[in-house]
Amino acid sequence: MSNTAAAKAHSGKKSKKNSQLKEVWRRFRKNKSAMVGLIILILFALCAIFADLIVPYERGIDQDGSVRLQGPSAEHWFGTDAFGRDTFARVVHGSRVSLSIGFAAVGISLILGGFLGAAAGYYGGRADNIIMRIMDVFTCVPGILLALAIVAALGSSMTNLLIAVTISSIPGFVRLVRSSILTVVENDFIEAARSYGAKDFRIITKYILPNAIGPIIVQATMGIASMILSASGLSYMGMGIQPPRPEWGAMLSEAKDYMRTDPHLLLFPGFAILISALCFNLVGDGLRDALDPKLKD
Amino acid sequence: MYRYVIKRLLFTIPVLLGVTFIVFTIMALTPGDPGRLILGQTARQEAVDQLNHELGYDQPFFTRFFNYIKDIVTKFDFGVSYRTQQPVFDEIWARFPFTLRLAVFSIIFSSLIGVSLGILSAVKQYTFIDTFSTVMAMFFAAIPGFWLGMMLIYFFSYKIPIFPTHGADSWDGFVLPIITLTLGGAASLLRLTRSTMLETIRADYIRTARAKGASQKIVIWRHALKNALLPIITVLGMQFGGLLGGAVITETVFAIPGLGMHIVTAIRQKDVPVVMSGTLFLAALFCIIMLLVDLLYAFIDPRIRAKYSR
Repeated sequence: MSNTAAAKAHSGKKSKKNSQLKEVWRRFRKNKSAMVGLIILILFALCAIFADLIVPYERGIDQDGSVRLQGPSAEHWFGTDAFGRDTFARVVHGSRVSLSIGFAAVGISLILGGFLGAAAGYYGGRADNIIMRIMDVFTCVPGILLALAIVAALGSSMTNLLIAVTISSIPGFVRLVRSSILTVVENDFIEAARSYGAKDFRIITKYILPNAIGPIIVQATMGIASMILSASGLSYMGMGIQPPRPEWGAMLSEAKDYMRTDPHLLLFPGFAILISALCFNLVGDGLRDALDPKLKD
Repeated sequence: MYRYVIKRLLFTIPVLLGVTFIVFTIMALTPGDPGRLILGQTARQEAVDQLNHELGYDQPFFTRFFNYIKDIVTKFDFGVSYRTQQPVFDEIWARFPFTLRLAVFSIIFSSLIGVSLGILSAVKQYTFIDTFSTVMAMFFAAIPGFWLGMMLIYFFSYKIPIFPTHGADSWDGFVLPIITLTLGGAASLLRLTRSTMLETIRADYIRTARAKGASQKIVIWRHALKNALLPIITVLGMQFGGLLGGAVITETVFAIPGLGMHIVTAIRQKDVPVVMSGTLFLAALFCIIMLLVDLLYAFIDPRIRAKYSR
């Protein structure tokens, strides 16, 4: 008897959750710019996943002296670079690097930052003090210099680039998660959960996080944009992805010497960074409005 | 109030110690040794080992770290550059003015543009000016600074040659880098100002102010802006601190010999004393700027002033 009641209550909760998600999606869908951003991002993701089907990797790697520095044409949609490599192939395959670094860096900083921020916000006191003072230390060092030093120490590779951008972005996530949790933890329903003996882990995952998740999701979405920007910046400085592997920032760095005569080398990788970062920001904005009905007039 | 300032200044000591430790550790992980760096690739191994021994580089990590701290605390000695053999702060003082000039001008312009357009688009929400500024802000917040810099060079140095492509010899070399930094900063300030102003405008005390018959000007400038100012000032402070060290990429694009570029060169060459003193200098500046921001809070908001004097 009590079992069926519990099951009923459980399924009731589930359908409520679904309807909440549906409600968020309904509000998100009404936001035209956010939808455009989402569609373009899906296209970018498809480009990255099926890059080899769109254009073979070799076209962006193999050097061909006979077609150096050509403008856009039917044969080479985005033209060719100083080594005769196809810029379109390089932009398409470059999306793999940028998108995967963006997602991975945000994922890792979300997990680490979420864990530290939740501990600091929930337990307060000494744990809070220690964690936040350590974060202060990281905030004081300019992120880009820290990232450059890390890449210099570990060597330039995709993994180390990922480590560098992740470390310099963790303090921001810790602060955000901590402050979102602080706003929830004072509520009576947390006190109630504690009073009937729920464990800390359960309170944090079941009661606090679902109520604090909105701003965190928004920040994570926009975080992907800033990760793409900083990873491409590091590659531009020659401290990221190593040639000949195509990456947008590194492509712009190579374009530097030819930009006067061949601006197309500047145009396409730059637009790729701009559009992907812009779309993540648009989706983030849309999510913020959709998740927080108070903001809607 | 004085007690608060002194307490905060004392708090920066452990933070700076932490910065020293982190950067020292990262630099210790970087391949290469000072003896080889100073004497060059062709030097004999014995000579390199001898010099490493004299510099104390053959000692364990923690001994080196404590010696470094000891020299700073007791003799105020930050060491000499491995590469130039000059005291590190000579070079820092020579480079810093360039960086400071970039940072000061771009923070002034970006706060003027960002905050005023942010207020305007919040007050005139959903009008043409609001849509226009938010779209522009969206756009400039997503542009990578180095690409914007390169595009500016293409248009204003090559297509229409008004400004030099690089260099810091005359004032006009600073125009394009300052524009680059200003547009990025103004975009994020505009978005922040707009959203905090929108939140404030909906508050009850604004309705009260309007109800008692205050004019639009008074409501916006005295009641709304003063309350929306705190987060804006925080971000301004952080942006300024970030510009002092984080303008590296813009400095690289325009070949401006600023402090950031100096540190990056040192990172590449493993010139440990230069990297250490440069980052410590920037971190100390950042701490001081954030302290000033908090003091500014007290100046603006009497509630916070009351809290500090307790």
